[in-house]
Amino acid sequence: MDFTNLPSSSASYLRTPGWVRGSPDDAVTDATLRAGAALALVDQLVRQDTPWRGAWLDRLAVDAAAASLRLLRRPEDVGGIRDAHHLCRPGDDPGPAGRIYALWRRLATRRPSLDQDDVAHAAGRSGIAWSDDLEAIRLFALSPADGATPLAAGLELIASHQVERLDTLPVLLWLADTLVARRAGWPVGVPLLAGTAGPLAGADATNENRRQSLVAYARAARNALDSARAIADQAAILQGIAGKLRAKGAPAVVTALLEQDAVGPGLRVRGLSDRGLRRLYERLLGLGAIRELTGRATFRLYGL
Amino acid sequence: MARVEAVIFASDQPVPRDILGRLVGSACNLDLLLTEIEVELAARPYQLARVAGGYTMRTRAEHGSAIRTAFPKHEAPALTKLEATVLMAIAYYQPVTRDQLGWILGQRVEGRQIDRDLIGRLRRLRLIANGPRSPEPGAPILYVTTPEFLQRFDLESLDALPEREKLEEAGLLDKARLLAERRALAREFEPMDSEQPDEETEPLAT
Repeated sequence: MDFTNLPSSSASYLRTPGWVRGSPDDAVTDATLRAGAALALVDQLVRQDTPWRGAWLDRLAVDAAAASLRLLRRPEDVGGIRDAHHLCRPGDDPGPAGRIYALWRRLATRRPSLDQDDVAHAAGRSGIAWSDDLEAIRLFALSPADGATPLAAGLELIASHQVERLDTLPVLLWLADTLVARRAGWPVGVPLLAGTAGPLAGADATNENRRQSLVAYARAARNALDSARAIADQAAILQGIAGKLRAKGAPAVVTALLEQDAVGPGLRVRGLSDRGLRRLYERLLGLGAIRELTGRATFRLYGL
Repeated sequence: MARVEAVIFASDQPVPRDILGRLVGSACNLDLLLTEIEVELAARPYQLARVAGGYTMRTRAEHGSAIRTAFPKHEAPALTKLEATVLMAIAYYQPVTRDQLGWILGQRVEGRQIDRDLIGRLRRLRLIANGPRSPEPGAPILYVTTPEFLQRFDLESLDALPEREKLEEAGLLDKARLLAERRALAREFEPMDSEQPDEETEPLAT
């Protein structure tokens, strides 16, 4: 594939108005306006099939998994999540961190669905048994749109439901993000609620809790926009040099980097040996097109 | 109704709700149906039980002694004290390698490792599984507990492990720190070779 003809990052539509940046003390009106504006910009991005959209959404999925693990009081951080995913061989169990990440990754890579089969399957594969609580939430999410904005519907879903089992809390947030994506008509989900809905989930839906979760959502959406800009810039560098790479299989590696949060030694590319792959990573690193994400000397993982 | 009951009866594992839901179709109220089955079984020595988000048939608790007398060998596979200790350590410190387990349980200080066969037995019992590889020389396997582990010990999540909060507050669940301390301790005793370290933990070898 020739990447030189693809549109470059065109950061023009990524510019976030300064006033979208708020503070934790924002009043409800301000928090609402900031969240809405940020969400409209996220909407523009997720609808555009930019080459790097996959990497961006996958990175949001990693962040959502990290936030979920904090809710579950697990010690794994972003690094632990990446290791669990990339160092797990097929057929082995990715463990608590890898399972939660798989759930969010699914949201970020598929058409948002609330079908019972899809949803229960996703939860089951993450090691979370389907429960009556979750079924009630799914049915609530399926109720017809009543003119509420997508975000209001998502926050309402979280605020109006309690889950009995702590391990199902991430699934509640996941269902809320799915609902937002469906109501907004997005082709894939955008993992945003996990890091923000802490104040609402499991607590009484007081006005203060609602205000806090709006503030948190505005911040999450804005961080997602910042992340998109950083990834777009990095992608522009990568696409700029992609034509110069002579290694066999280089286009496949470039594609993987644009579509995933990270790639590692496990990436299988036709015609490229493990050593060749490592050399290609090192070259891309030297050219400033990618970053090394682990800080380790071995078992390194790379991403935009 | 008979079909739902038959499926639950025939399965050796709890049947998830979604499977039962598909069986009866959306027009039928599954909860109502399950209640009817429960009522119908009221006079029988077994009952419908809800476990791990699914449904299963179980004999009533009061018949336990009769069943145990009839099949003395069929008791649930009991874990030895050592197996239970290792399983507990995996549950609290997962994902964790065999070598790390040795350090955490104070066994490495004695120059011994956690037995491979012991890990193998816990795996065969499906209480633990092979997880990702650890990013260190030799890429050893990290062990993790399975969803079955939670189910069998009736834990709703890993957060519900006994005294987890207290252990965390005491800093005992900080794996990196714990390993560093244990290794430092071992180094301190190494030059004297045969000297026994002042460890409170009992040697764990069988």
